[in-house]
Amino acid sequence: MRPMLLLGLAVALLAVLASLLPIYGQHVFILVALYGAVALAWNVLGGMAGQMSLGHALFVGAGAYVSTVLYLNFAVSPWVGLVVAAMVGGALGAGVGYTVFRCKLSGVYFALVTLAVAEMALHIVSNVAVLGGANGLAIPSRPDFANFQFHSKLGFCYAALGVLAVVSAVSLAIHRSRLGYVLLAIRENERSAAALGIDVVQGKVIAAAISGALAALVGPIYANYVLFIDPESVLGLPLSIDALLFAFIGGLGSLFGPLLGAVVLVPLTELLRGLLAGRLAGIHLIVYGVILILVMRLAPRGLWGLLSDAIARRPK
Amino acid sequence: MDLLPLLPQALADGLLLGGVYAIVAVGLTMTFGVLRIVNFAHGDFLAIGLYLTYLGATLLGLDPYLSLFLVLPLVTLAAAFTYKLLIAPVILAPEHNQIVVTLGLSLVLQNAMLAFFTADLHAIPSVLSGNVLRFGNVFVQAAALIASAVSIALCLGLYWFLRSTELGRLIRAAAQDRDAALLCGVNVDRMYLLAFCIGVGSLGLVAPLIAPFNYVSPGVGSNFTLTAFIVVVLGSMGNFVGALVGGFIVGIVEAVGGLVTGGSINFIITYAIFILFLLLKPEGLLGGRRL
Repeated sequence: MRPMLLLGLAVALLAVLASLLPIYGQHVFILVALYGAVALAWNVLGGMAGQMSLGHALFVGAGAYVSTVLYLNFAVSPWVGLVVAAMVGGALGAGVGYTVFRCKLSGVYFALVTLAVAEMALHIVSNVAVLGGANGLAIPSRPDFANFQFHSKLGFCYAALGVLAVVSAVSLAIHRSRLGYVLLAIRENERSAAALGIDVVQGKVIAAAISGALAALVGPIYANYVLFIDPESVLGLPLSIDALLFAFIGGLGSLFGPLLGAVVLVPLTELLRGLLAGRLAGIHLIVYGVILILVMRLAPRGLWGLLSDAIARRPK
Repeated sequence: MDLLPLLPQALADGLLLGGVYAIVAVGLTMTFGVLRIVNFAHGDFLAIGLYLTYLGATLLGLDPYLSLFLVLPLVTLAAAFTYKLLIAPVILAPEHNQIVVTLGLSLVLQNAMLAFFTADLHAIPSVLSGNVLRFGNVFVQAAALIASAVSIALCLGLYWFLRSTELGRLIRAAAQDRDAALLCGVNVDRMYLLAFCIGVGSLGLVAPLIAPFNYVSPGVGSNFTLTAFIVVVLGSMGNFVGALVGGFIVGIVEAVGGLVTGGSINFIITYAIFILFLLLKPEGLLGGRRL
């Protein structure tokens, strides 16, 4: 259980770090933690099981909408909403996974199905009045612990860090469990895995369910932090691409590579935004695209691979 | 409200839209069928073509139909560079890496256009803009008719090229079995380059033609990419006739669906059809026959 202990220690250190940051630093901290959590959740299915999803916004969006609608219409505390969101995300992941994997779709076909399901969800939500339609839903600002709205940014830092810790712990647990080896076998060679007696479909469905549940945890926190959600921001294709991007740049399939991707890229985005002062919208996405292509060409194992190579090469 | 009288109009709109979808999808199916690479930046080259047409109109005062002679070579050139710099190095890489490279390219292109041209919508006027033909109760834009007719002709022309010319035969050989083609002395890399230039370059022909009745914005490409994927899957990946049939189906579903349901509900129908096809018949309507 030493890795879990280390994880706990890291989380405690980060909690102390968050309290020392200035307000803007705390904002970046929250963004890094949330994006990192989405990327890690994506990695369970995309990296560990090798099934590349282009629709993880579906789970984040489902989580955000579930908790927000429960809170606005039924006065259910977002704390409960968080649990319901995870269950809905897990069910969606299992449902999509079961339907798709049973039909033996993989590779680019899987990517296209997930993309289409997420886009369809976006258009459905845009047309349903109870969900605010294309205008989205605003959450009235009532700072209270029970409302999942905190008086300071530090509260949200801890909330985001908490979700990141949960996602990290689950990733770590999978990595060291039988399931982790099952997923690895499926990723490396599906036929050999099946020949060894592994239920390939079951393994992938479980990965999709866990991945969906973890991604859905991020939705409610984002919604209560920003106090506004609309289909484009939580269900849109850009969010799905972000999840994949951080995972690929950070290091696909490695345990914490996707988090590293978010740790490097999100502050870079904020820095660029500050430097350019709002001119040249979308410049950070150009940088992402270039880094993504360079990483694919020069370091297919991502930043995490570069880092571990550098450590391994260090003279002892 | 009685919608029946409007149905012929919607059908006509759908057919015209379908012709354009078909040619965009034919380019995608060509790059997929020959190179086995799924190009997520496909539609962005169409957007580049539209912006070049826009520049031709604003800087040089060219009518879209004239700037065609500028846009077609430029987009083809861009395709050639893209192949050499980005696609060729990953041609044997795992599928994940190929998808991610084209996704990265799409991010760069889309946001470069956003940075240069801002998110404003632009219309590109032409001598034919506002020229409307009337067939009974059906009104048709002349420019849309031309675009659709040229698109269909181009689809059939490319089909003939691949089927009946020596060069087409070489491309098909490279598509069917890379190693066997190499052993027979086919310059596979050259054929890949050619196929990519035709597949993407054809967008340089489509862009000026649809410019008179379309707006230009940095995001227009990704809409076309998604639609092209739907069309290609409907009509079977790598199948030209399939792309043509799929294009008309999607065009009509969008136009008639928009008439019946209004709003963006018709997109839900299109995506639902797409998902059902992927699940139940991933080989598409016309089966997996490649090129």
